[in-house]
Amino acid sequence: MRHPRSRLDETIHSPVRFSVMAALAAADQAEFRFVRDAVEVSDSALSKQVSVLENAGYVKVGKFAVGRRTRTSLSLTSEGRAAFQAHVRALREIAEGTGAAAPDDA
Amino acid sequence: MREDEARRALDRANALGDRVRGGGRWLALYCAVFGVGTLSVVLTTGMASHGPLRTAVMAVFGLMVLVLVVWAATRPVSPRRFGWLHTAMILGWAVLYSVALLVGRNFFPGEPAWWVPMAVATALPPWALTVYTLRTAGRQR
Repeated sequence: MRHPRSRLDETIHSPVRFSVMAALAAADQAEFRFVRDAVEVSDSALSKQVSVLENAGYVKVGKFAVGRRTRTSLSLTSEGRAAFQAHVRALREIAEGTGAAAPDDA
Repeated sequence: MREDEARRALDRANALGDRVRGGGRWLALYCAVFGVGTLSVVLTTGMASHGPLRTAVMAVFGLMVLVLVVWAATRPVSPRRFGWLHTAMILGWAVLYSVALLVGRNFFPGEPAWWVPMAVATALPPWALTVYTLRTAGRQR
């Protein structure tokens, strides 16, 4: 039987990308600024990591106008949500025996 | 990855999930206000004896709905399953509102025994979503 480490998703494994995925998994959609503040990274750092996730097909980026401003929304694709859930399952298996709770995906 | 690293990653994910779910608590206020609005408009529509008061209350209700829609559209977080939950709430409200007005105007004009319970009934779908949101989107560990 393969160790659960081998089932960790390399795209999600990076700490910032994992945090972005965890944040977006708890919502249908969140604004870029909100995710930036929640994950505690700079605009440029978040943009870079979101691009990686977007290219992997895990995150969808949308633009919408609010008054004269354009805002950016982020959401998980169905593929991204499934990948995050699989990644969390692997993490939980690694952490088994330590009493860690798995994050809610709902 | 070691066990303690996996545990820390899961804890971090839990904390972020809580914070994002907290960002969706606005839906509770949205639904609570909508519930008060529909209760008021159904009561006034059924019980008011003259047209101008009905018209004024309907206008205020329409304006309130417009403000709520714009406010909701500018919130930074859409709670999980927001589209489905909101649609279900609106459909439930629309059915009860239609029954209250169509039956009440034809068979129970000005009759509190009909209009008071039906006004409360039309507020139940949004208030139920308020409770659900506070129990889920607002959950803190």
